[in-house]
Amino acid sequence: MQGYRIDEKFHERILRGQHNWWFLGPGGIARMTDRHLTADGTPTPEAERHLRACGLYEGKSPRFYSLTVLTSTDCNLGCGYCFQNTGQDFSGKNRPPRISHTRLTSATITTILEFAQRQMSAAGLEKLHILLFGGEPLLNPRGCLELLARAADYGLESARMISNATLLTPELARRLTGLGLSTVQVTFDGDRDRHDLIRVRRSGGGTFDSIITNMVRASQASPLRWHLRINVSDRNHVTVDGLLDQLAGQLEPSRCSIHFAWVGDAGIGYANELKRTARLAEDFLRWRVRAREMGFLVPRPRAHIPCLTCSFDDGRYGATVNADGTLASCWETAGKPGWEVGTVASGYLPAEQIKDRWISCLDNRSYADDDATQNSFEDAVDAAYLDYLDENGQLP
Amino acid sequence: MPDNTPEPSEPDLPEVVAHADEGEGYPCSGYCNNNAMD
Repeated sequence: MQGYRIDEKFHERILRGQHNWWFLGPGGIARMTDRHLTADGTPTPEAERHLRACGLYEGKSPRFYSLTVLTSTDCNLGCGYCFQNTGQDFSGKNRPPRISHTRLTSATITTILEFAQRQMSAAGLEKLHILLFGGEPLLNPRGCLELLARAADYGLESARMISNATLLTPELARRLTGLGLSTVQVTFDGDRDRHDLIRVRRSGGGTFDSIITNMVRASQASPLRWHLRINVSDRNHVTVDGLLDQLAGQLEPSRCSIHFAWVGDAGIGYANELKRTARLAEDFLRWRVRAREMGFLVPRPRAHIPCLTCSFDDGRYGATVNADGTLASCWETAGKPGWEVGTVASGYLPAEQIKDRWISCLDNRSYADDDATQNSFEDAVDAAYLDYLDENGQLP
Repeated sequence: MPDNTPEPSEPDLPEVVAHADEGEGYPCSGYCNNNAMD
């Protein structure tokens, strides 16, 4: 077992802004000048002492045990980039083969919750947070409802769901929020016309209108909040501005946080050829600024925060569980043969046995740019966005 | 005699503009379940 402490996993970032440097630590953000940095770009001893005294190097300890559960590995959509595709659909019918079918049952829920209890006790955590995942989790609505209902006896504090929202009814929204669900993350793949070419039903046809309709109705029927993941690829980036206009016109921006996500080449046969140019960095900045000005909640850039499931290879603070009770290090490998790292019944396999199967969120992704280019791009966009917030008096 | 000793200048230190418990968190670009620390 690894002996990492949680504070060993946080990493600060130092970004070059237009007029100053930005220090992003686990505990907050500071404005720095050249005088506060050494020749190699790290804080001077005096600057670091001050930042530490202000708590900027201190990350928060986990307050919950973070449990990600796939309630179904099936999906009613056929997106070509999906990391759960096992091949392509060359017939053009949007039905790429997927990982094996599994469905969460009552018996497995029992074993999952007992596993979580053991893990929580070992970590000294009394509260549980659940992420409902899939496939499409709402292909097993009963499993979602039963898991949340029974988790109440195990310290359930809050829950989120990642769903395509095509199967979300007002009644389900009411029942799920009554059991602790607070937020649903929904993905959009461009403006309406482009989205409907990418985020397609396996039975044929687009999904934009039904997603929006379901979100509006669910918002009327429940206190659900939304997180909008806006996928960015060579296939849709020119339509993102139009998408923002459509979303602002149909949803309640104040109930939606939003982020712009690069589509990694995780789908078999799929490749995102978009490259991280200076022009594209301007686009990312403009989207964030426009979204914020429309009233969406745009997360503020922050330090590198460890993922509670994949950053610790002993499941110390979180776990990803497939519908059949097998453990994976990450949502990306859940349900994939050869990537199992244990079961909820028996626990994690010995570290030596699973060391090559323990990956983190982005390990298996590939992009058109190398790591250095990716990091520089993200730093540039984040720095520019901090400059914008600062110039407009919006820090904090 | 007047005291001509100059006032000590304030140390030049980084300026904290926000603490982590202010404002929103930032999601992982994957599907990370990091709510526990938000």
